[in-house]
Amino acid sequence: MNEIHESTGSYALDALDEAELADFEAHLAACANCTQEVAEFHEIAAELTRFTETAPPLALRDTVLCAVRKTPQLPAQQVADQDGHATDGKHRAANRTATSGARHAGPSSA
Amino acid sequence: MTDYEDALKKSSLGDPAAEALIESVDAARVDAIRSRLNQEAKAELNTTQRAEEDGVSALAEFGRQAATRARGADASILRSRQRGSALIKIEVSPLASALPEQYVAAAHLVELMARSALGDHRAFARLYDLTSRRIHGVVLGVLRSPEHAEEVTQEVYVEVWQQSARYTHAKGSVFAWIATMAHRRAVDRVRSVSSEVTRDHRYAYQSTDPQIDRVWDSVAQKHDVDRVRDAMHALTPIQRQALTLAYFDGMTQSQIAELLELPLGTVKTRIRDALKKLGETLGGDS
Repeated sequence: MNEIHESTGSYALDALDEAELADFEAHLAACANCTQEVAEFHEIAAELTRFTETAPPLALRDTVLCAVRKTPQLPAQQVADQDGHATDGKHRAANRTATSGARHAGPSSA
Repeated sequence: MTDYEDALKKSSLGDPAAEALIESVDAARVDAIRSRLNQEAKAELNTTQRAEEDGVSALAEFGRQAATRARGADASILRSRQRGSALIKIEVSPLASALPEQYVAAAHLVELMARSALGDHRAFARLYDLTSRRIHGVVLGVLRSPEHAEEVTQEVYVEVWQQSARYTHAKGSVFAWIATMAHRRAVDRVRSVSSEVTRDHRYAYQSTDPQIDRVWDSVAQKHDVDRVRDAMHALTPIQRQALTLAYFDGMTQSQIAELLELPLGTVKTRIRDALKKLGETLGGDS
């Protein structure tokens, strides 16, 4: 199944469909090389955002900061979440579990 | 078309004549939509330039305020904040050149994220100010619609706030962490909202049409984008095309394969090779 390693680039650019994504995330959990390569590709992809810089409307800043004031923060990561994955906030499937709302710890520990 | 299949094999070995053949077939394939999208891109450029002018003046004011607060701080940090455009420069990843002020800037984002994780709203507001042009830019670049883009940008930053305690250095740079979330949300929104058939593949020809490259060259005016633009030009046209179809058009690898009439494996390899090449070019700078 060597061709699954070839999907690191597509994964990093969000170019996998749902079925491919599930397969690849399962693979990532077990493949350190692909995990490393994906991390590097995410950094590279972030550089591409330089091409399309656009100031958001100034009103959006207020909207965001207001929304954030009403939003509880999630606690720091456990070593593994309840699914047994060491989620890193980037894996979509695990992330849906983590942000389902059931894990809010109340006011943030400021 | 056995010549084309043969050329595919040869191009994977780096044969330039084969690559030229593939490029001409692919270019013909998307040629039908090229001129219409060219006109739309020009109209979009005017809108973007006006937005940028508003954004630049707001940032310049922020820069002046930051410079005042930073008085007495390290001289190199002060110099970089006084230059309005340097506010963009300080969004750095490990791939950026090893300039001391960029390392300082990366550390600054980490500090802002850490403070945000403790509920510090002022720190989070600064994080927003330092990253939102590129983040909103990519969201808008993928979604095209300002209304959808504003919604998604808001969702991204709310998620960043929620997850701020979960950011660790092991997850890469702060900016890339945010950009990854933003791109994923934008692509998810695009796929849920619009049918692929009606979506304009504005970027489809970008890499193979020098005229459209000039459109984007004039939009991206900052010094720091030069490095990435040069790195993009070091790719082959079909590598650039694959990257832009995936990243800016939000297409899946299967959709790209279908659009360009290529085997799926070819598309995967092209995208992966393009990213690896970009990494080498960007990482190898001094």
